[in-house]
Amino acid sequence: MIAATTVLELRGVEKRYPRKGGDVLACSGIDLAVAENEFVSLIGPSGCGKSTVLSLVAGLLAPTSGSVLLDGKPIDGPGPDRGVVFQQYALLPWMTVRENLAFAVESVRGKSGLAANASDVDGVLDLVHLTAAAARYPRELSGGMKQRVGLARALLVRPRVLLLDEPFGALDALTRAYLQNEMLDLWEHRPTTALMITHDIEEALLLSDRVAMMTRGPGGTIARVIDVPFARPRHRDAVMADPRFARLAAESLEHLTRELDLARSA
Amino acid sequence: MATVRLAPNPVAARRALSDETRGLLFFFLSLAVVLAIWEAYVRLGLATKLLPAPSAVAGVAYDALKSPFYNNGENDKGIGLHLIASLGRVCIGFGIATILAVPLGILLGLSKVATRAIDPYVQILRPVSPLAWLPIGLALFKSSQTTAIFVIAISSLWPILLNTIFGVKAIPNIYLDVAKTLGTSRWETLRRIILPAAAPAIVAGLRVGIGIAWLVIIAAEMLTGGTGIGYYVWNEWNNLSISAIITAILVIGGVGLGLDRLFAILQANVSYAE
Repeated sequence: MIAATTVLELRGVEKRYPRKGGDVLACSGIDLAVAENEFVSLIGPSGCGKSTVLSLVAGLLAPTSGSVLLDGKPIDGPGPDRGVVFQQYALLPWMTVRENLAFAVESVRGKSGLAANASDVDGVLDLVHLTAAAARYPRELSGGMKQRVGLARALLVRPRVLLLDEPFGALDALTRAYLQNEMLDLWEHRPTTALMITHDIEEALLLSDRVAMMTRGPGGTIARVIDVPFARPRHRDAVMADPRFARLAAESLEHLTRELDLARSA
Repeated sequence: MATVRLAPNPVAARRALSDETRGLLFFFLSLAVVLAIWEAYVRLGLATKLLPAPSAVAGVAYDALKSPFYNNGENDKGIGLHLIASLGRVCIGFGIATILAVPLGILLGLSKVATRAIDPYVQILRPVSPLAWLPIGLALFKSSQTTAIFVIAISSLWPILLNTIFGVKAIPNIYLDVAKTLGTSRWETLRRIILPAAAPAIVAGLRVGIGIAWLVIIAAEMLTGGTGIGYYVWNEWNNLSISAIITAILVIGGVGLGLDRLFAILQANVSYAE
């Protein structure tokens, strides 16, 4: 087997926020490599700096030290080669679903390497099963539908990496499970390199190829990375029934609980 | 399943008329009472000679509004011609204010440094009465026509400017993050995100601005003279025709209401729900 190409790489990444009376350390010593079409999740207790890591990769923040590389080149600000799915959907409320997607297409038009055109909008609407809702405004959609638009918008420009910031965190349990199934399905049709932030262990195990677990904040780092052994195509029931799933979930939970205990006693 | 029958609610029955209809009914009732008292007060000879009875006002108003566009030379023009002159000035002055205040407001809203730099000007000049600008305008332009427009522009500028700054500042960061991560150009970000996101606040500012412009034009025209509904009011005062002045007041109020409604419609068109 040929070694897979590394698409995204973080090397000794540290981020400090300047504050009066001393900087606040958000994360430190982050080393992580994501291969082509690999799905990696970053989980950790709240306040560990995992969302900061995503913002660094998105280019919305710059690291204090260390480097974030995309295809070997340092990231210099945000750009459409990294599609972001926001936790709060971030759809533009004055545009319909179709206009929101077309806006993404128009934004990247003429930029090299990104081949999005207006006809892709129909394709991606079909992909997330939203063709019937194309003319609706975000306020007329349920949370689950909104996030499908968010996902469609990020996929539309065919980014090198998909960045998912707790994408299902704001949804109810049933909708979340439904969308996770859709994600699995989507990955069979259209594998994409992805980095997902989550605090849901089962979600991470279900969707990812590898799960990176962070230590407690402030200044969290990656404590260990586990390989998720389930073969693709995956199905929720089969994964959940696998005895390895329960073992990995228990291990991960133990790690997170220990980090939380340490945080409390610190 | 058993059906529960409710006895007719006596309160509900009495409220057969909607609140809206009842409100309207009371409005007409109170108007009739006020007009009746006013009419009686004048007819009983209790008022000064200058104050006309409502019936007399109605007669004058009918004549004035029957042929609003007659033109018998400099000092004898129909109320419609004066109205058009005033509306023209308001349009130009308000237009100038909008063209200046909206782009400036966006710039200031986006830049903390620019906001700090311009803030003292805004804070000092905003509370100044529009009429204080009249002599400045006359000195600057040496023309009463231009001065009236100048005063309109400078007094309707502030609410538009402040609302635009506020609207731009209040744009949630996440919308701008969307543009950044999509690599949207600066111009497209302005056109497709900043403007529509701030539009409700900007139009609210325009609505306040047009209201102020219409308030100020009357006073400005009283002082600058020539044409305009403000001048008409002043001229009729010189003619001691209170009836004509009352007619003008009703016309001014009606036009003001119309302008406000116009911007209310625009406001409804640019508003959006999160």
